[in-house]
Amino acid sequence: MRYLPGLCFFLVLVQGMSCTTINISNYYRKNQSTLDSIEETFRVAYAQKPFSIEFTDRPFNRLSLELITDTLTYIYEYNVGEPRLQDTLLRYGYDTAAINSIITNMRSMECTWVDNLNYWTYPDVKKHTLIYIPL
Amino acid sequence: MNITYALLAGLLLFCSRLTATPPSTPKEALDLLEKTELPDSSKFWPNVRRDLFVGNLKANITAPLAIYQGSNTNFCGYAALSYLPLHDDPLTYTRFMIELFVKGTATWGKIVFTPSREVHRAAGTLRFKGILDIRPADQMWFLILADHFRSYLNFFWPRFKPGAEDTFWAAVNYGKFNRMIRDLIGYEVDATGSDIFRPHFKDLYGYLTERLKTGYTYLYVNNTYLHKKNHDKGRFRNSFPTHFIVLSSIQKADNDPESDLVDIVYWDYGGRTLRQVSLRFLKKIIFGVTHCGPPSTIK
Repeated sequence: MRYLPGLCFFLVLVQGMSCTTINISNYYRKNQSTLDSIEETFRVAYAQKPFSIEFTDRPFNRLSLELITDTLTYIYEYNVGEPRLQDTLLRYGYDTAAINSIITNMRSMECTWVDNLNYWTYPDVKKHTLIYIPL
Repeated sequence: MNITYALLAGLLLFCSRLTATPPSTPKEALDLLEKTELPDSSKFWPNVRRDLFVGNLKANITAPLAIYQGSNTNFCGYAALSYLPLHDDPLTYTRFMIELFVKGTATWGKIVFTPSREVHRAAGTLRFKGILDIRPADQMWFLILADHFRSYLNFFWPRFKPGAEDTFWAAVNYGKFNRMIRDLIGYEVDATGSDIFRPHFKDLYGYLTERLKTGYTYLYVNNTYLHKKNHDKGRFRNSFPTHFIVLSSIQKADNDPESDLVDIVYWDYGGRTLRQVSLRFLKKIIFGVTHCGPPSTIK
């Protein structure tokens, strides 16, 4: 019993250290223009040719690019600013300006991923899409 | 004369085993589906609509690569397993699914599937899983496989509850996956690996290249590294295999025999992916290699 306060303090300390929480509404209000820009640019570029982008490390220096075609999905990894990235985008016919803008904005916002999710509603069996941008 | 005939017959048998002609074709499966009269609805599957069910089966037969496990579910082992019947024996698959729809239970080989009432109710109701939302036949198929085949991973999740498709109720460990191939499909299985320890390969590239020459090759991998971001703080989650992929090809990048980089083409999540990885990375994520095929066709 005499260890209880110490134990409680330890648990609170562990809880406090184990995760960081973000108030997502405040975050969105603060960065609305950049986040909306990522969403809109992605929506237009995705409609031309589907793709997704994710950052694979904490310092946001390394990114993985998923290029989706009818027969095959290509996944390549690059360092940010690597010329090979631009070559790949040009080779597969992607809008380089749009994708570079998304990458820059994702880095500044520390967004880890941008992708498109399809879902359906019933009973009309209607398809909807959702762009998700995890932090 | 008799010896010549015997030799010829032996040669033919040998060749037929080597080429391993699939037991049925997509056309046979489509013909069966076309001529079978299905009821508008099934009393066993209250949430499965006939039009979506038939459309789903047709899609699986004509485009077997497109079968999709659903976002965030633990159905990847069952989806990977489906690769075999959909490619090699779509007729048996279609017959089984029709029987399941009409009778609520069905038999595949010696295995009798008798889904629980919860599973009957759940099929057709899974949502926000991508295209699996409108694939009731796939929902039935994945759910009955998870309901029937159990292993130690499923011990604390014995019965289906809403949302169980995302939990350990549906999880597939390596032993269970190989058992499903042997028991359900009847294929010979040559498996190397485990759930916890990575197998040692002296020459991984040579090993996989050799496996790809016959049958099908599955890799049991750590999906956290393969698909998701490395931002997760938990080392525990990052240490175990969670995903099955079907390996189609492996080649040294730029055809350079000295290169550590390889281009792998694999199937998962309803499509084929080409990805360039280092052999070092590949060794790190592989926990099992399963090589399988009809008896006597794999070396």
